Amino acid sequence: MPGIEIKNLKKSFGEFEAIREMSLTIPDGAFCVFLGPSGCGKSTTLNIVAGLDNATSGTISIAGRDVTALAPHERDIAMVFQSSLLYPHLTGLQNIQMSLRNTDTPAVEAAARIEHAIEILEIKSVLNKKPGAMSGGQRQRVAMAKAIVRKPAAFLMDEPLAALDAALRQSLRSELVALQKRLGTTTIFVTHDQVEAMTMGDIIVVMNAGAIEQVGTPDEIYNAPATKFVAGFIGSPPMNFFDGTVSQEAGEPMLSTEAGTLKIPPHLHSRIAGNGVKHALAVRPQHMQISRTAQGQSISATVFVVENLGKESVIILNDAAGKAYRVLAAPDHGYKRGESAFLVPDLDRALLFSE
Amino acid sequence: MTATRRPSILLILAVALAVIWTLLPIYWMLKTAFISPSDAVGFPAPLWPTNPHFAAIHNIFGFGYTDPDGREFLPAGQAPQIINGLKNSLIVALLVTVITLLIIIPLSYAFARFEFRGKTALLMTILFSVAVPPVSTLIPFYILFVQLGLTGTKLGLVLINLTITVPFVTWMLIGYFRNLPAVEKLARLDGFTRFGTLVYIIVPLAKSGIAVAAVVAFLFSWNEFVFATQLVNGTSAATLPTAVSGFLFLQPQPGLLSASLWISVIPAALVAFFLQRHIAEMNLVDPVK
Repeated sequence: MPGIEIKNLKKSFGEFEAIREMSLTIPDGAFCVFLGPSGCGKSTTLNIVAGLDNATSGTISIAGRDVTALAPHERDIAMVFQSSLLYPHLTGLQNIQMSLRNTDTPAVEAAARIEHAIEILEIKSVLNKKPGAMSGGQRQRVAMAKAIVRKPAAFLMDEPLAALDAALRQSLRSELVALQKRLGTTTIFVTHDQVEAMTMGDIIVVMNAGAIEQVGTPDEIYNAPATKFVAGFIGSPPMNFFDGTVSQEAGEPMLSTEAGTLKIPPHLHSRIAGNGVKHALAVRPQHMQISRTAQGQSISATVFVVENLGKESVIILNDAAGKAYRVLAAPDHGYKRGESAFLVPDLDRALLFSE
Repeated sequence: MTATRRPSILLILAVALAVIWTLLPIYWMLKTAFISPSDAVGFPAPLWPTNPHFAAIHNIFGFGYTDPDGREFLPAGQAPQIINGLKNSLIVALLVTVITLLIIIPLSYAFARFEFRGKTALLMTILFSVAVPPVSTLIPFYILFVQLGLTGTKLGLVLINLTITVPFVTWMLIGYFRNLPAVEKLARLDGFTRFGTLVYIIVPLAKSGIAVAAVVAFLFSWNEFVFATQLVNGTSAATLPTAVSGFLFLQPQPGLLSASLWISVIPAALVAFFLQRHIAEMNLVDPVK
């Protein structure tokens, strides 16, 4: 039985299509991350799954039950909102209690669940504090406690970590995943942060402009991106693209870019959409070399900026047409701004996308 | 808040000046209640009641008073009007406050949090009614109230006060509600209806803003003089300000006037005192810290 099933979901606001057409099955117990730039429809989808927003068409099922026509509190879900929104005028404990107030949970059962949640989230010290007096991390834990006392079939989380500082975000990430695994509750986690998505998700759903670009494990999303958008969106520093058109030279397919020509390696031949069609060869920065001399498949460029990250450097180069490429190099690379160099992509590890 | 600094001498002087400027007339007015009638009209009048004298305070409540020198002071003739005025004022002000709150809480909440057709036009209408000077509606209201038989009634006074407090306080509260965090989403997941959200979540959350709205409505109604003079003066529904004005216009008696002003100031001061915490808390930009 799937944990959450979204079928043919569409959502328009007047003329604007926020979600064009979306179907998705999330296995029971999976931690599913919706990842995409702002305005891609990921939060809208989450709100529709929660019942806070109505779909224009399509159905939502949670734990095998069609909930499309149900109100949020009837859907057997719990939600954690952006910045871990809580009732500001209530204490931590009162906030948690609110989750069970309008349910028919017997008082003894409710008390036991609340106690259990307080214990596993270690929030005893903030029960009598109001959210304004709590730290960001404490608010997050109280919001989680508020969610888990419902014993829902699904957790829905809308960028709960977005407003926290980097160090805290990192520690809460692993805590949240550990908690989810312990409870085994199907979870949708919305974020625009690819690191969050890669580190937390069992499944990542990459969305763009109201549609799903790719559904896959973090490994699939990173190593086998289905579209150019996914390839460019995932990975830091971002993927390099050599944009050009395909032509045949002596029986070999070549990609002619504005700055030079590259031979398309055999493993990508099957992905060629046709001669004269625009394609992009995608190469990760760690699969690029920088060299002072031309060698094999290389493109001449000028060093634009060197970003020193300590254990490595990102060298940003511009080709003759002014397009930027990033190369990940050891910190002792010795290149300086303004220097001429050659970009040597490892084409055996390249990907090809047609447009 | 920025780091606490020792206030400069100039700042202290400025504050002192402002305090004296505001409080001196009130002090002057109130101290007269404790000065014997002969001292009160003497020149120069004493700066403070060196020989406290309690005749006015007794007389205003309808009691006679004999001072240590054996002089007798008879109960004020207007005492029944003052007592009655106090009663009427309390009834009218409390009714106005309660009805104002019942109307404005849902009204300003709807304006702040929902989108609906004609919202801007309705909002402008409310703003406009705040901008109209009350005096300009005095004569029309008077004629209307005569025809409806509402002159000389507390009901009429309550109605007319509401025409001012409701738009003014609505206008005040809209901004406050607008800045509350989006707890409605939370409330929907917790199974509250829209109305339940307003009653069980928004009202407790917004209690500071609502308290301030209540103070404004209460004080406005408590101090309202212009409409009261026209509609209820001289009737059994006369409120305290109109009754007090008798000491000024009909029979000038500084001591009694001052004593009756004490009666008029104390409830207002109490209301302001007990709700001042909320006034200070009502931060319009970030209502909930």
